[in-house]
Amino acid sequence: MTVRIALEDGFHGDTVVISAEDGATYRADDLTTRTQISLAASTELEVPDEADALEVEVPTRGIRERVELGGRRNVTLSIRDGRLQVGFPEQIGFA
Amino acid sequence: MEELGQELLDEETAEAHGEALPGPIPFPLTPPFASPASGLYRRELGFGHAKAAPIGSVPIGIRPIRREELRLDVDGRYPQMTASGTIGGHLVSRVHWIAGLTKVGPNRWTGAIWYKDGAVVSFPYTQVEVKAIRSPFPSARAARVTFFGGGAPKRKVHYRFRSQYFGTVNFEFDWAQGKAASTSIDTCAHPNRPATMACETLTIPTVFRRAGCQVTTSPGGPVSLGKAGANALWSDLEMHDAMQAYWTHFAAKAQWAMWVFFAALHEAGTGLGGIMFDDIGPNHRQGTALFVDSFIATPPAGDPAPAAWIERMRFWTAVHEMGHGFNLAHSWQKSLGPPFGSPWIPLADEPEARSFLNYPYSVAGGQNAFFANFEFRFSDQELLFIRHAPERFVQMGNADWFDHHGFEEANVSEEPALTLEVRANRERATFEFMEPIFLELKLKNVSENPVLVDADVLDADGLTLILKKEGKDARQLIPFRQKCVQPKAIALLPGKSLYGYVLASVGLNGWDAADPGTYWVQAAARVGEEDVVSAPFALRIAPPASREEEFVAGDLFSEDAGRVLALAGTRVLDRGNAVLQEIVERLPERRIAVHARYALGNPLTIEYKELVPKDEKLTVKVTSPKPEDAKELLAPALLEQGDVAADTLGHIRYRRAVERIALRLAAAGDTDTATESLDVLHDVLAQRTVNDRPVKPEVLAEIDALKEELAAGVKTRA
Repeated sequence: MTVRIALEDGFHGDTVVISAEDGATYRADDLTTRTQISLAASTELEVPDEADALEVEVPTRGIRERVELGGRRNVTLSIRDGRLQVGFPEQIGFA
Repeated sequence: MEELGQELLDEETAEAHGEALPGPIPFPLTPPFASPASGLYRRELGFGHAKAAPIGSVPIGIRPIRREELRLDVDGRYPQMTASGTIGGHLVSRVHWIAGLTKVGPNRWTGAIWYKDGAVVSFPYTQVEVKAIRSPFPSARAARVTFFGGGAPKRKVHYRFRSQYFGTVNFEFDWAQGKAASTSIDTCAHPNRPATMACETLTIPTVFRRAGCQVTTSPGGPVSLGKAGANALWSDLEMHDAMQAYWTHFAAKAQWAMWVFFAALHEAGTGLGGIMFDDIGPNHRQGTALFVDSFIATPPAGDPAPAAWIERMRFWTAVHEMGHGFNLAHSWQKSLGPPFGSPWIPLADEPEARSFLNYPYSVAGGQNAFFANFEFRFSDQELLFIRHAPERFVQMGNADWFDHHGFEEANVSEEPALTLEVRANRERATFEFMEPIFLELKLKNVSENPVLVDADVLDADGLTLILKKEGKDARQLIPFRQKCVQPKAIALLPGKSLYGYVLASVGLNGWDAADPGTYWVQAAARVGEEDVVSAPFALRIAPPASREEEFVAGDLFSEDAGRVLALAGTRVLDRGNAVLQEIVERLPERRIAVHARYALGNPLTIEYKELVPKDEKLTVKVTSPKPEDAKELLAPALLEQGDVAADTLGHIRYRRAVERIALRLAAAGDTDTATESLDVLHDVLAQRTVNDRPVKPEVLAEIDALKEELAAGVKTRA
């Protein structure tokens, strides 16, 4: 299934690595949020239908977390107060 | 009563914008009748008062008051129970205040001032009391505000009603070829809506009118798809180019105007519904865009009214982006600070707000929950900002205070008769660390006719002087001393100049030119109804030469020491004098030591008068001059290092210092030392050439003439 991932608020020159259980990986460096659309980057990862979770790493912030998908396909990631904030909106869109 | 008042509001709006009135106005009007008190008021300078209301116990930096406004926000649509005001003085001198209000009686409110911005040393008040005079006739409406608290005498100001709106803004809606600009919506077209929301055809301008803006619109038109390039997808740069080409109001300056562009798609794809794209160049937030073929054109499966859903999302996106143009952040990121920016006041995030600045699909329950109680409005925090924040924070195209704009409100003549120059009388405008920066000013008549100017036009407290360190906000110098003198007009003949000097380093607002680095200085003088503005002048402060300098600097950069230097000495500011004495002893070779010696020695040359309490009264205590102590301090600085003194004090100040001391010496009977001092002064200035410019012969002649008078015993008073 396709998981849509939006890296939203709080990124400033950061590196992000997102890995699925089957090895699918997304990596981006020097990400900075454009605050007027609350978006640093977005991507889609093809993961097995039965995939449970994603591993999210922000090495520039010392963050490493496991994000449980629970069957959800829209994932938003933000950094606030040094911690990863995860959201599962019904839709991903920016304005 | 409120409904009747609201009706009048809407009718006034409709009439102002040529829209059809909802029905005939009843006549005669049936009392009781209540007009709204909210709106913009202006102080009519001189109205109802013989004298101008003083601004406060320390009226520095703002006088004369040229403009004073009140924004009263206590009724009407979404009242914020707030009053705010702006007091404009000379050019950039300004105070902005905001107070929360509580109703205490019919047409009366009181509250604490919780926000101040600008020259706040001139505005010590902490409380306001507001009284509104209502009338069905706008010209008869008024408001009286009493400012009190903060240890200052009460200040009462009477304002006249100007408008039900707090400000004015212009919108232009353009569209890409093949698309259209839809700027209205039927609020009841979609069944998912608040049950209490009125059904109406709501327009984008009306949304902002309800936010407090008097909206005007410029005719829109199509934008060529060629501007989007071969792929017909828009990039930010392409939209910026289109804005410059098609927006009738485009200008590289801050203005209350915004361009709104309806396009198909951004090059980022369908995931981007709109963007405030204008974040390049010196003037941000003038242009916004929405993309009608993006995700906002795809209603959720099973939506009961897909066409209405699309219209609603398009409307929401347009106002959302325009809200960013007003410098509003998303609802969930209000508290975001550096490095992304900073809120104007501490703000709370509003992740569940039913505001244009929230994403409908991001709230708990998603867009169904959002639109179920979304009333097509901004949140109270956002309305407070739009209506009451300092103008520069909200206005499109505005930047940080003074950056890139300089004296934007200066009333500069297109054919100026006068020019103003700021300069340092040295080859290179580089100052030692801790060296006080004395700059000279030259006001020249470049016309063919004499011009009447105030003799004190170049005095520090009559000028506006702005300093800006690279990378920092601009600061206005507020001098320590303000004179009250009877104006004396003098005729400046064609080709002639008036000279003055100013200490730029320090004033009431602190040491604004102290750290090493590059600074820009700009000055403006008021002549009649016009402002004569200098070109920006660049100077540099060198880094400390030793650890010892760094150590002493901490004490020098204090108010006391600054005052002593600015006032050329005092016998009563002991802490300041102690710092300067330490500088003389520890850093004798540095230029700050010249200034220290002068400030320490100068008061010793006169009978020094102090007002001291005695037996529950005030008496004048006179301390005799100490000429030998004075000589010991002053001679090394002003005479033995005359060239250095002229360089660091500036020619004008150096000359005045030596002449004044010579007169005092002569008055005390020491004519020989007096005339010797003037010989040194003459020789030093005669040898000075700065940027191929020697000291004027008439200056040297005047020094000679003074010396002759002292030698002959003709002149003995300073």
